[in-house]
Amino acid sequence: MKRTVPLLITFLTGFFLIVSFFVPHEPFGQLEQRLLVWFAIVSGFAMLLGVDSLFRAHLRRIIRAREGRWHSLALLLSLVVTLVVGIIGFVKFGSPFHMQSPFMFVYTYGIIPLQATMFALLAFYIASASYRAFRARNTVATLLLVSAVIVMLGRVPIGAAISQFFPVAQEWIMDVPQLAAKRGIQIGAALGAVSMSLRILLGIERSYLS
Amino acid sequence: MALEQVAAEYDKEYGVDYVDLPLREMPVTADIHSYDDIDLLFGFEHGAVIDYWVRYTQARFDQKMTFGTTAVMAPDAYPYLQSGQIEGLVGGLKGAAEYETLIGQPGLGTRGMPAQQWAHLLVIGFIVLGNLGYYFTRKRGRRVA
Repeated sequence: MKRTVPLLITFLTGFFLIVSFFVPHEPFGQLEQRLLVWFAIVSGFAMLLGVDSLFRAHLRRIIRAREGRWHSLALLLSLVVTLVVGIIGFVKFGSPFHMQSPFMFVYTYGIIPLQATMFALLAFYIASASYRAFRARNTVATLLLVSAVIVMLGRVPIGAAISQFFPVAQEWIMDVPQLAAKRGIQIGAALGAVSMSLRILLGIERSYLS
Repeated sequence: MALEQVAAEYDKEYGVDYVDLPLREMPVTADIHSYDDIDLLFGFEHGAVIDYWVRYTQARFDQKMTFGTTAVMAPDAYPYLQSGQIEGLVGGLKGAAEYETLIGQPGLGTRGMPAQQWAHLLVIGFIVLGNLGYYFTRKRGRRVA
């Protein structure tokens, strides 16, 4: 019974969601919306559990004065401050996402510049990675290297200024080999997702119950 | 959930914009009730959101769509473009510059291209340097052996 009921719930939910995907009309369309609302609620609780786990782990690190405790302190302070300003925004403006809300202030003047900084740092990582990764070690690595150089030159004006070959070759690389690989990966991932979903729906895959 | 809500009177769930202005009172959205009223949907997206648009909106409601994405995400949208599932794609800064040129209004995208050009040349320079270093290190290693 302890296993049969969850398996039955999984099967019925999955079955109705599949039917409602292909029949977006009453009563299935409404049912799908309802189930998606439930999913959002359950996700909210799952996130709460995640925050609780994160909070405990970093608090433990601070209390036990382990290595990286200052980073943990910064994380917990940011978490608490964001939560508090979110609540203030909700109470004062009806929503933390109101443009006058302190939450949006933190988002605009804290999170966005920090994200921009992270992206800016990525440039150095890319430069360092290109220095190390694109080495002509063998034929395959040389092909990758040549393709990368052609794409990089073909996507900026100087490539076309040097020769019309670069934009044309760039387009071909993106439209043929890149696309073929991408499509292969997408089809493979989709087939994998379908087979895993079927295994879960039919109760063959039960690892989520343990 | 939001993507599907547009299929039938979306303003029941999302009736106002981010500054609480009712969508029904805006000329641009006043007559839009569902996907049937949208001739072409243009999305500025990042991440895997395009997959959801294609899966839930194009596949189910046959909605014509076109997207503007970051350069990193553009390759993910190429298969949809080639198969005709999306009508067009403005990919990255290059796409933005091309679009600005197409409509004859050079703007941020066009102005950003020189910076991107130098960044690409810098990376190519690193690749050349890395390979020269690799070549000479290997050559010296062979000579010592």
